[in-house]
Amino acid sequence: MTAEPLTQAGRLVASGRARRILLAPRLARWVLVVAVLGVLELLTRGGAIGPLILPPPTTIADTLASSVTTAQFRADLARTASTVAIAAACGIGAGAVLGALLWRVRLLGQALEPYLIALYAMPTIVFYPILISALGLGVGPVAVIAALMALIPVTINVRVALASVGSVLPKLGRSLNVSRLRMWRSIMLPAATPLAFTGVRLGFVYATIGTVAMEFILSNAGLGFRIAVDYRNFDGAHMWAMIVAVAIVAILVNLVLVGIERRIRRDML
Amino acid sequence: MGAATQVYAPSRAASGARRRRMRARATVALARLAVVGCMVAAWAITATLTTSIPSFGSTMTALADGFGEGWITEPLGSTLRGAFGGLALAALVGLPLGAVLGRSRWARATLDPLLAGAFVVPRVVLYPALLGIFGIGLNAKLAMAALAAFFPIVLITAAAVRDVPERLVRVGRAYDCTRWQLARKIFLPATAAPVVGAVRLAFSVAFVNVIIAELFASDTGLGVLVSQAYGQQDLPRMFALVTLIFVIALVVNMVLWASERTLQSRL
Repeated sequence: MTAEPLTQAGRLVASGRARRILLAPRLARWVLVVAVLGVLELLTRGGAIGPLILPPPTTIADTLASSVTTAQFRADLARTASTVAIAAACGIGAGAVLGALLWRVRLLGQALEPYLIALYAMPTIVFYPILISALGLGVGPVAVIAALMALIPVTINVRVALASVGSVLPKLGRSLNVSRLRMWRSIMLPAATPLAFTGVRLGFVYATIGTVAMEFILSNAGLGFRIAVDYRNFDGAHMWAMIVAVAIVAILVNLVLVGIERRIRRDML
Repeated sequence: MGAATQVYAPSRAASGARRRRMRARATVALARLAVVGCMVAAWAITATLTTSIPSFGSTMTALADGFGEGWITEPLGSTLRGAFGGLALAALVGLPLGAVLGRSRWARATLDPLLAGAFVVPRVVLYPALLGIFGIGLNAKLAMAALAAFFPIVLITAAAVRDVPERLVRVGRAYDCTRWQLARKIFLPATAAPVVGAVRLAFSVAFVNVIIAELFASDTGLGVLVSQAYGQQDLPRMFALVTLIFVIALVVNMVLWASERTLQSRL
């Protein structure tokens, strides 16, 4: 407790120093990005990098600008976005329940822990042949794989988040004689949310990665599918435009989630 | 003597606690083995109900054949070389960069948003470009693995170095440590566990990406075998490969996880 004002003072000093050079990192970041793009532009225009590997960034930007208005792009984007949404909803829902179960039944959690962690390294995608024969080519197999990939970080993080609540708050609840439902709604859920939300964000990230990767390997629509088709048609400019589109969507979604995460964490502190 | 009993009593209590701890650990180990038993049993039961899942026995026979006849060894070697080679490359570049980022507030403020952004992008879509640069073969897979493993290594290492308590660094400075001594005696032990965790996560990402890359296009590898087996509708072979992939993921993760815990407990 006595150290707290000191660290706060330290933080104030540090933030004052940071504020003086606050523009510098942001500026440096943009300078870096522009410099890299400029060098790539020169190398591609000069012929050092072939157009099949990387077309000039300005060409990619042009292609992206002209293709975002097409019906095909809207259809692909809608397909990918809806698959990610379904997969993330299922994966996060199931992961939260599973994480709570593994926390509640302690031995089960300890027994399954190494296998859960190993599933991070399991390319769930190898099950796609079975899923395609069971569900057909379409949203089904993609959503199942992406949901399975989202499930793992959510399960692990929810279990850790619930374990981190400790015993004081539940004891308080019991001494106030609250109902089981009330205990979860008013005590466990809010107390576990800050850590658990990191799992939810990772769930979204993994659902996106799973969806795009699966579309890329075998699907009939979606942004990942379009990249694979462009590659097979040697359409480098459009392929790179779609890669950039995927990157932009992924980064925007993550930025929104990080913003929510920061807000939740600040509320809890 | 009073002093002797005082020493003796807590040590007996401690040995009781140790016995309890060991018993708890044995229960967990048994439960973990039971999980494998349950999975095999569930597999065997499902296999009798549907024809789209081969029996456990025929899958194991196919796996043994794979090693006996040798059709699995070369692709397995290629996949592992790709994953571990890429991991090594990513660690070689990522660990020093992460250490620098962890110590420099300015470098972190500049690069962190870029790295965090790259981390969430599905990097497998860059594989066609890597195929263009390296051609179909081991190098393209290795580059894919390196690209996938790089971001988790840098981000986690930077966070670990940043979170080294400032008082530890001050202790080192008080003993007049050189830069090198500071790195070896303070930063290395304090960050070892999370860095091993970073390598574990990076291996997972690298391995998954190599398999996906092989499913897309490659000359050899476990992913190529999976799509071949699917093309021939050879279910035992396909499940043998999937089992092998899971066992590799499990063994590598367990080894790194165990060393991570040992390092953590020594702290």
